[in-house]
This record gives sequence, structure tokens and C-alpha cells, in this order.
Amino acid sequence: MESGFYGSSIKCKLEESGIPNTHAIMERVVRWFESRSIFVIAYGTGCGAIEMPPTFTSRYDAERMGVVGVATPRQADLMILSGYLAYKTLRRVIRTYEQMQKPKYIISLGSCPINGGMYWDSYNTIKKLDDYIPIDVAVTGCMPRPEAIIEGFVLLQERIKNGEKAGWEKYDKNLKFYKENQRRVLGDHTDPSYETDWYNLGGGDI
Amino acid sequence: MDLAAKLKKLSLTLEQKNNYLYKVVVKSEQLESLLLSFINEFDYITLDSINCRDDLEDGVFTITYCLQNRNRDHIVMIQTSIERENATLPTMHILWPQAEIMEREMHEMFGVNFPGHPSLIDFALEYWNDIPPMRRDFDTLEYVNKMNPFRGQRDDALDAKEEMKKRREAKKAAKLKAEQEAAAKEAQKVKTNTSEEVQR
Amino acid sequence: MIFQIILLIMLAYSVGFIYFGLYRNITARIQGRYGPTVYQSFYDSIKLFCKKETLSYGWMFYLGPIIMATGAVLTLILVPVFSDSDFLRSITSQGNLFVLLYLMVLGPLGNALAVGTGGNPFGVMGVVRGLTRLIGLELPFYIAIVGLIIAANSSDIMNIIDIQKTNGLNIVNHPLLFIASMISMVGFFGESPFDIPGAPQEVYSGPRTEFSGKFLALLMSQGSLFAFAKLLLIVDLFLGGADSLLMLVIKTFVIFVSVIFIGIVYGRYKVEQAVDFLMRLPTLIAILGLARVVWFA
Repeated sequence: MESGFYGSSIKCKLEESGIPNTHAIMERVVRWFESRSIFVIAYGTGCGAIEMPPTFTSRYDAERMGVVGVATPRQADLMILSGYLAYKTLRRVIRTYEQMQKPKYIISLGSCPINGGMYWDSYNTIKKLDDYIPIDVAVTGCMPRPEAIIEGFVLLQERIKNGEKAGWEKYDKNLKFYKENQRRVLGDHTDPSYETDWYNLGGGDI
Repeated sequence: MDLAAKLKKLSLTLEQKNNYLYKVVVKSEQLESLLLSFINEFDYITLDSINCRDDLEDGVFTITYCLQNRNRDHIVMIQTSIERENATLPTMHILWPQAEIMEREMHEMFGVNFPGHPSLIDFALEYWNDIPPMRRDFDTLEYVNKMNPFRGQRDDALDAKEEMKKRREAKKAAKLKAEQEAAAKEAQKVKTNTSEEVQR
Repeated sequence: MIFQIILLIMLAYSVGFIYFGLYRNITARIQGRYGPTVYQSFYDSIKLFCKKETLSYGWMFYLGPIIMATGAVLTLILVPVFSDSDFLRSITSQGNLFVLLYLMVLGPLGNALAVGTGGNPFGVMGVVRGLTRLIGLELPFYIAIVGLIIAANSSDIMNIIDIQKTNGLNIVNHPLLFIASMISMVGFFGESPFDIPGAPQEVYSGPRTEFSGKFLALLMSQGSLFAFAKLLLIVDLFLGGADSLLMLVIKTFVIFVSVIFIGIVYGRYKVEQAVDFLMRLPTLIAILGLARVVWFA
């Protein structure tokens, strides 16, 4: 892994220079830039994928806020999980989430990721998404209209600017909890993740 | 039409549901020959769908083949019943290529076996290790409770009955208070009138 | 001289990024919506630079964007910016037009080197398409440049600019060469109908599939530096160069807007269709212009 832009040498020099709170000021400036440009991976996972094209095209323009769609998880910051997740989809979503580069966020649309929604008694969908992947912003509705999705984007921008604790930090700290839940539901056919410390430290016992 | 007459020769009755929909009930041993004769002699060459219904009380699966004729103006439903245990049916994928997908789905969801089928593998479910889920003795709610916990209540959740009771009592108390105040004001007004009269 | 080079790079960086923001804004207004702000590319590249985690596949993966950036910067410092003064003219000598034509190939080449180490099949597919497209794009452009060199009897860009001051602008004297090179420019800028290698709807944005973080920021930067250098080249060769900053901005903006107006309207050609088209009509136009230069003028 590579570290960020203000690598250790520049940071050390700034801190030695005596200007107070350089680290905090730089973090704040970087967060301001990060909130202004968010790359969304173009991945429609459930029924809510029908509300994404209206949000990103001419009528309810989401590009005004700097939100633009990209094609690969390597270039993306944000993944929108729109609607229910079958077990089949959950495998692929976990693999995609672990391919994204930090800092990464997740917005979930609808009431299915919160408590099962319309498919509360279905044998093939998951009921509580928080157990398997950390969510930052949950937009309610079945499906939320584009105005509600844009409000979700604005809330996410506020959270990034204020530097609140994000989902990817939770995922790193509680990796064992998340992996246990994933293994329980998906069986032993969960793909390993090549980029987390869990795998590199010989994580066969998780 | 002469379809009814032709079927009577094979000792089958043709039921008419609509001006375009017909139905034939047949035994499972005569199913394959009847389907072949429908293609070759009666000119019903298109397979619309193969459907399955689980009759748990009689212990059978009721299978329906929907065929359409060459001019696309009549549909015939051919119904059979097969046992629930070790259910097998002859595979039709050589006559109609679309039957391959339909039979694969029926195998996964109901457990019906098709000897000679080229690919009886997972269709919509991955790594499924329980009984076929569309059967009526599969309890979906029990399966869900076993695999997925639901989310509990919020931390600041309130009990609905208590809140309604509290609201009703508050409303009653407010109404009582308003009446008392109105009565007090009336009494005040009467008192001032009488005091003025006394002064005069 | 180092100071002038750095100043030139900063100028190209800012102007290139603002032009990219303007491109997004103009596209948005044509589609009936408001687009992002004009400074959006700055926000994007700074955010990409400051990502906390970047994936890398070894030292060759590093070298790819660096080779592309080298090509962009070298092209930039070899093109004269102002035609009247010596300011910001860092290195010019005789015959630099040939060097420029070689340097313009360095972009896709660096991309190809880096993408190969990633191991992603989509990247390899995108790079193959990009190099195939380059075959078609180069042909009319090089014929047009050869025509200009013959007409001016020299391959130094300063001489071409000086001749335009006396004879009239090249866009008026050699219109066929201008049309042929503009069609190629549409492809060099990555605009429709020749934009298939880098498009996000095609094989997951082709060569850029595995790049993230600071590599992507470097790719964006070198894209805009290269675009500014090509704009400068066209302005110097056909519109007589610029003598002040205002004229420079106006002339590059005119060419830029005409290129993107073509790009917004058209759909995308497949690579075979694009090379097929480019080897027929634009090459024919360029050859006709070349023939006019050699035999009739």
C-alpha cells in the first residue's frame, strides 16, 4: 500500500516549522476537497437502480455537486446499494467493496437494507445490511425519489467535511465481526480479500 | 373444432375456457406421446411455458404445458399429475430448446428430475443446501429466522398503547380545564354586573 | 530558464484544467442542465492525490504515468508560446517539428507499458484499441504537417509563424490541410466519434481500469497538459501564433470549442470503423492539399 500525498517527510517538516495545528489544518483542507468531488461506481444492485438514471441525468442533476459516475471500483469513492441484496449479490458486493481504495463510503437506498422491507420473509435476501458491510448514510423510502437521494448526497458531504467516523474505519477495526457474519450467511464460498491485513496475517481462522 | 374430435379418438376430453384457451388433462404415462402428436398432427408447435403446482394435500405435483399453434391464436394447456416423491418427467429440450431453462428452474425450485437433461445445475440460487424452496412444506419464515436476525427497536422507542392512553387523557384534561375557565369567566361577569347595579 | 519552464507548466496546468471544467459546463448546458463548477477538475485531482490508499503493481506501474507525463511536458516546452517575445520560449531550435511528432506518440506508449503489468484483461483490450486508433489518427495529421513543411520550406515552427505574418494565415492559404488535421485533432483530444479507448462505457474505461489515487491524478494532469500543448501547436501552425496572453486564450478557446462541439453531437465509432473512415476521407483531403502545395503553389 502507498501512503497519501502529504507523506511523512512533508508532514514532519510542517510540524517542525512551528505553525500550530498543521496536521489538523491540512486534514480539514483535504476533507473540504474530498467533499466536493465524489466518484460513484456505476453498479445498480437492486430495484432502486431505476432511480439512479434520473438522479444523474438532466432533470435532477447530481453533477452540480461534483458527483460523477465511473466504471471501476478502483477509481470510485462511493457505492450506492439500491434496494435488496440477495446472497448472490452480497458476495459480489463484498468483493467490490474491498477493491475500492480508502476513503470509501456506502449509501444504502430504501427500507430493505434497514430491516428487510418488502422482502422480509424471503429465503434469499438479507435483512440487516449493517451486519455485513458498514453503511454511512441510509436514505429511506421505497424507492426514494431523486430529491431524497440528492439530500443523501448532501448529508454525506457534510459528514465528510466534519470528519465524522466513517464506515471504512469501522470495517478495519471490527473486521472479525464482519467476516464472521459473512461466513455464517454465505458459507465457505466467500472470496478472500487480498488487500486487508486479515488475509496477509494468515487469516484462515477467522 | 376438429381438435375435440381428434382428442376423443384418444379418449381425452377437451375443455374450453375462453375463445382462445383450451385444456386437456392426461395421465403421466401418455404425456410424451400426446405432446409429440400435438406437434406433428395438430400443428401446435410453440411451447410457451412449463408450470408446476404443489398439491400438498393430494401428494402430487400438477404440471402444465402451454402450447400455442402456428397461427398464434389458440393456446392449449396440457395437465398431468406426478408423484411428489422421486418426481421424474421426460425432458423436452430436444423438441423445444427453451425447455432446457424451464426444466432447470423446475428442478431447482421443486425438485423434479429430468433424465437426459444436459445441465441440471444452479439457476438462481447459489450453493443451496436445503429442500427445494418452492415446495409448500418449506417454511420460509422459519428459514429466515434461522439465517438472519432482524434489527431490534430504536433506543428511544416508545410503547404505542401507553402513548395513546397518555394522549387521550391529556386531551380530556385540557377540555375539562377549558370548560372550567369558561364557567369561571361567566361567574365573574355576572358578579361585576350585579356589583354595578348595586353601586347605581 | 528553469523558472520559465515551471511557469509554463503551471500556466498549462491551470488553463488545461479550466478548459476541462468549461468542457463539462458546456456539455451540461447543451444537455439542458447546470454542470459542475469551472474549478471541478482541480477538486478532482487534489482529491485523487490525497487518497489514503493507492494500489500499485510494481515499479513499471509507477513508470507508465511518469512516461506519459514526460511526453506531455517535453511537448509543452518545445512549442513556442508567444510569437513576438522570447518569454516562455524555453527550448527552440531548428527542426523541432519532427521531434514534436515523435513525442506525441509517447502518451499511448507509456500507457501500454503500465497497463501490461496490471494484469487486467480490460486494460489490455483498451490499450490495443488505443494503439489501433493511433494508426488511423496519425496518417492525415502527418500528411498535413508535411504539406506545411514543404510550403514553408523549413521545419522550425518560428519560421512557419513568420511566414504567416507576411503571406496570410495558413488556415486561409491551405484550407484542406487544416480540415484534415482538425479531424485528427478530434481523435487526439479523446472526443467522439473517435473516443472508444478511454470511454467508461467500454470495457470499464479501458487503459485506466486499474489506476487509482495519485496515478489517476497524474493521468488527468498529463491529459490536460498534452491537450494544451496540442492546442498551442494548432494555433501556431494554422492561426499564426499569439502575441499576447489575451490572443492566446482567445485562439485556443476557439479551436477547443469547435472540437468539443463536434464531439458532443456524435456517437462513438468502433475502432475498425474509425480507422476505416480515417484512412479514406481525411487522408484523401490531406493528399489533395499536399498535391496543391507541391504542384500548384
